[in-house]
Amino acid sequence: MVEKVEYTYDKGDLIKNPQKYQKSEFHGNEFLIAYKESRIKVLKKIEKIIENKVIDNLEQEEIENNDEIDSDTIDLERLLNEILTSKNYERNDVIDILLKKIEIKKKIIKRYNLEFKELDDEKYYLKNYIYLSNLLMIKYDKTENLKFLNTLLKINDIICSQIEKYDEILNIKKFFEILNNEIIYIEKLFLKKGIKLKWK
Amino acid sequence: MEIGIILTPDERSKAYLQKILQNKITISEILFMNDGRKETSFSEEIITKSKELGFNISESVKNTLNIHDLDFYEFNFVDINNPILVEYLSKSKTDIFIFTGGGILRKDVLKAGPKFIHLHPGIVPNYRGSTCFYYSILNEDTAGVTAYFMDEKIDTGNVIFQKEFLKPNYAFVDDVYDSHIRSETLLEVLKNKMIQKNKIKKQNQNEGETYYVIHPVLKHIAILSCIKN
Repeated sequence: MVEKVEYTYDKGDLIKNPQKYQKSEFHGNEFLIAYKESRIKVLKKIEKIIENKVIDNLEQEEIENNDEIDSDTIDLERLLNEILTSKNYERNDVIDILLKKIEIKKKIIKRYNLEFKELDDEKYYLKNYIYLSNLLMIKYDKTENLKFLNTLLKINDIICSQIEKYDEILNIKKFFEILNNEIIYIEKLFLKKGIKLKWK
Repeated sequence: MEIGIILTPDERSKAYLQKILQNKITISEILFMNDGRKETSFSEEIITKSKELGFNISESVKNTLNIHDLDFYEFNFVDINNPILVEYLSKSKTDIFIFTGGGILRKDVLKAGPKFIHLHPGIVPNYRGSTCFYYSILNEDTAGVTAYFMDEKIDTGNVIFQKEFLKPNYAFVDDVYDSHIRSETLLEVLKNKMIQKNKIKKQNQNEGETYYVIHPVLKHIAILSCIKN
């Protein structure tokens, strides 16, 4: 009996045990189908989370970061929020550093020093992952540079692995949009490359 | 000018060594970093494809060295920055080593004496970093190799030669295609004595793009685009 190909890259706790993606095996068309199925499962989970939240009347959330501003550190949430709200998408200096953090260190933390080196406080903060994912989505949309799509897929794997533990509804809704777009980008790419694939 | 090679127990080294021997190219010194790792076993299909392309992927580096009765110095680790290797290199009379591995060379090894040449599977500066052939196949339907002198950064050294290749029509990209295109580029560099001619081209370090290990979804699209017919 032929074993069903599974998409395993968004499984487990990827904050604690990150994926390395080195020399990943080739499984043919089935792998791309498994990828889409896995993403659809997450989208359905998100729909449920949103549904439950609406029922609980918890949609209004405090999204302000009330932490004191420390001039000796970079607060990642503030920085990403600032880039996104001001639509300053040409901050390639910052975007490239954060992209590299996801690719090499496999994580981003709450605060950095002014040279973007990690501070001791390695608090895990899913909101920042969603902000960065949003930024990478916008960058890929504008440039079609595959380096952004590559890191977008990886950061979305991480977020997918954590989404059930998260309850900030506005960000969850944003991630729903990002994940839908990611699937569209992949679909467009294999169409562009002339691959005939039956998506479910 | 004395040219040597630093081998590691992997597919790339197999292709480099076997093709150098087939083409009767003289190498003055052979170093073999061998941590005793288990040999990867390959399917018949992969072995046949590698043979079609001029090397036998199922023949270990050590076997090739022994079959051809070659003199070599063996280290029991695979680490280009290991102090034992650095010490050895500082006493070597070889001017330039072809290094089959990658990664970052630290100051100690760069200052040891010999220079190092790397065959990078991407046309720099547009394709620096990791698994560049996949990105290049996705963007341009081709892949390329750059032979360059290694420096302290990744893929920024002075360029000796660059060669473009058609994308493969088979799926064994990591094991066979990568080793094949790098070894073919190396052969061209050595046969045409490009190192001795010293016609190097400096890179603008601020130009270009750096890529990271390709995500399996993109890798699948790249490979499927190679074998779609």
